Amino acid sequence: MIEVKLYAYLPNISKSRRRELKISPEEGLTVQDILVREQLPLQIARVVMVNGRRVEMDYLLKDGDEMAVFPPVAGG
Amino acid sequence: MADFTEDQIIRYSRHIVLPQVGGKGQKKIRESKVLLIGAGGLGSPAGYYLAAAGVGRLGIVDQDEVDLSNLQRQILHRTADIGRPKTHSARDRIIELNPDVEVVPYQTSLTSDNVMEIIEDYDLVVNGCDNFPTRYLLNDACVLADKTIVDGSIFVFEGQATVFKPHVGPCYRCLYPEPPPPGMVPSCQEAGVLGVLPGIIGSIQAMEALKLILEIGEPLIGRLLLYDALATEFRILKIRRDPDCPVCGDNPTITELIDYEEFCGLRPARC
Repeated sequence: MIEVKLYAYLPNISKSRRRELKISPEEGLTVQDILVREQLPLQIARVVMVNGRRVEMDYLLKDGDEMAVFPPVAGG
Repeated sequence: MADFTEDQIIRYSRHIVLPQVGGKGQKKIRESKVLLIGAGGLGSPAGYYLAAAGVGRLGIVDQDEVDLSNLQRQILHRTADIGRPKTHSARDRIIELNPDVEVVPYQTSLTSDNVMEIIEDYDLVVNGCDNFPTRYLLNDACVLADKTIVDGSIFVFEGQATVFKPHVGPCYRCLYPEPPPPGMVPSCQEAGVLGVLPGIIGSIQAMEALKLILEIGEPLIGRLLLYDALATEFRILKIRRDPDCPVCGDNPTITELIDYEEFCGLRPARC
């Protein structure tokens, strides 16, 4: 399984409205595919980590990956 | 050490004893001019620690007055300060702590009209503001004026901190080129925030500011610190300058300041 964690307010604006998701691995599945499926705007869901490292949108996800998505926050 | 009074030598003795600081470093701190954007959740601990450390001049920009609902986290203000301008109660608290510090209050919001003039007099900007329009305005202004921002931001149980040093590391727009669409991001007022959270992020900002002033250690340039209070997780990820960045990139398209509030109707998130 691929574990996805959405930070800050992203769960509230995502399709499944959940903070943590488990997704079955598929051939050719990218970080961007997950964000699009979750209907997250790409200009906000820009900082993505997989297994603790920052990755680009075309990163190919594989079984066991842990993906985390961080949006900008503005509170002070 | 001749420049310091006996009391000052005692006051800063735990700094001076550090080989990384010493009398020379303490003098650097005294000669530094730091601008705080916001005297709220982040600005309170950041400003208070920087004042305690002996920063020479501390500018404080805030347009708000102290509200009862601020006091669960904004530790520069007291119950008796409710209704007073935040810059005034912040100044009072800081002078009580350390009369060596020159406090310059700016009881105003940052706008494209005043930002360049305000930041001009300072070496370093500590950003603890509470809304996206000001964050973008300040970022663009600091890239144009070549000022380093020690950035912090919070949301509910999560915080972020980094240092934006123009043309050396990335800027805010390298990370997030445009503000989120209006209405997408709930404010702290709507979402709530656990009061200790800004204390942690604001303290990290004060530490990063002092490291930059002292030129010691590895500041958070090109690195984004992410804190998840519920999980008690700190993560650091590398962030790079984007050559296509609209403001600090090789061919910038933003060459003038933008007041986002005016044209996109983004309601500032008050924290």
